[in-house]
Amino acid sequence: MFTFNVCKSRDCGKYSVTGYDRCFSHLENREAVLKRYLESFSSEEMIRNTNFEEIHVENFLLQNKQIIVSNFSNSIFENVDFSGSHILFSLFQFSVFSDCTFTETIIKYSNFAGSTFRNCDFSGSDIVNSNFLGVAASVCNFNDSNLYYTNFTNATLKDVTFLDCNLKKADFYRSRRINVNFKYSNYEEADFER
Amino acid sequence: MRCFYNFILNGFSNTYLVGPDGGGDAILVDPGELNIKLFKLIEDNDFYIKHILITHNDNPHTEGIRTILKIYDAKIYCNSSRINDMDTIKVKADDEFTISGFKVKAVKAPDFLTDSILYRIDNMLFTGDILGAGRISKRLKTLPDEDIAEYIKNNLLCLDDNTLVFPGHGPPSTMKVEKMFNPDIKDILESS
Repeated sequence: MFTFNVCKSRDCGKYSVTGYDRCFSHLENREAVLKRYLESFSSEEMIRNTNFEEIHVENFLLQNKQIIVSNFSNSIFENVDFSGSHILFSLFQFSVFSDCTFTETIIKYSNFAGSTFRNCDFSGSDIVNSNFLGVAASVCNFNDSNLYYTNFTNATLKDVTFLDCNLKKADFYRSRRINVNFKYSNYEEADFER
Repeated sequence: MRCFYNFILNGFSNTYLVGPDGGGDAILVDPGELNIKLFKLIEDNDFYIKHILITHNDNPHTEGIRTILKIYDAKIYCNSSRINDMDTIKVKADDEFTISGFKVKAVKAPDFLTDSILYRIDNMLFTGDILGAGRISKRLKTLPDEDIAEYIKNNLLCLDDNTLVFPGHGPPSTMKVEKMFNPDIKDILESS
């Protein structure tokens, strides 16, 4: 479920944090709200229907969580471990992921467009029909992953490995690729041109 | 307002359920089937399906209508006067109407897609097969480039960056992302 309450602060078009009437940057008790949310993320297996743009999470475990129909766009994730998690129909647009682990995740119908990934590990994951449009990824590893119908159009990929991946219908149109390795992957079935 | 998403195996399509906080009359967009999960979403949230919006007449977006009408007394809105042998309320581009307490605006689909229409409810745009995350419809691509450009300029680029794009297939998006990274839309913006 998406909730669409816009921040009540004047001239602010951002979405309010779920359970509050303002976006994170206009909340008065930001530290307390963040703390409450992080405690709930730690204790609950499911993060569902949550809108929390501009969240900053660091050195945090989000292993084996189910992140469903949620919006964490314009956020910063540093050293966050998402391994074993399911991410479904969620938005992580224009976010920054540094030193994050996504190993053996299932990511479906989710949108990471415009995000930056530095030193992130997606190995052994199912990343199906998801959107990495315009991402800037450096030193990242997608090895042994299923990337069926995932879209990297306009992405900038530097020192990224896609070893032994399923790239059927994956889209790399207009991507800039520097030192990208597709060894043992079916790159013939991916789209690089139109 | 709350909007729920439900994945339908039939055509790997998306169905959306839009209803008020606290339950009441609700809208289904493109019900490709009525599966247990969708039925539970409706009932657990105390919704009653009063209106069905169809973006285009294609089985993965319409197959569930018949089952839904056995349970709920709903009216069907689409750009055809009949769908699956059922009467509908025909919607034209730029029509505005209020259903289940929500103001709906019909957004034009390209003329040659005679069965298609997009719907805007608040800041959500239900695009059916016309616009997906990072892709435009293959059917749209059969048009000459200048016609595609004209359609997108006049109907999609005018939408606010915060508009949420809910397509008939694949992940959600926002107009900001589509304007920045969707290659078809980006080209039009850069050439204008």
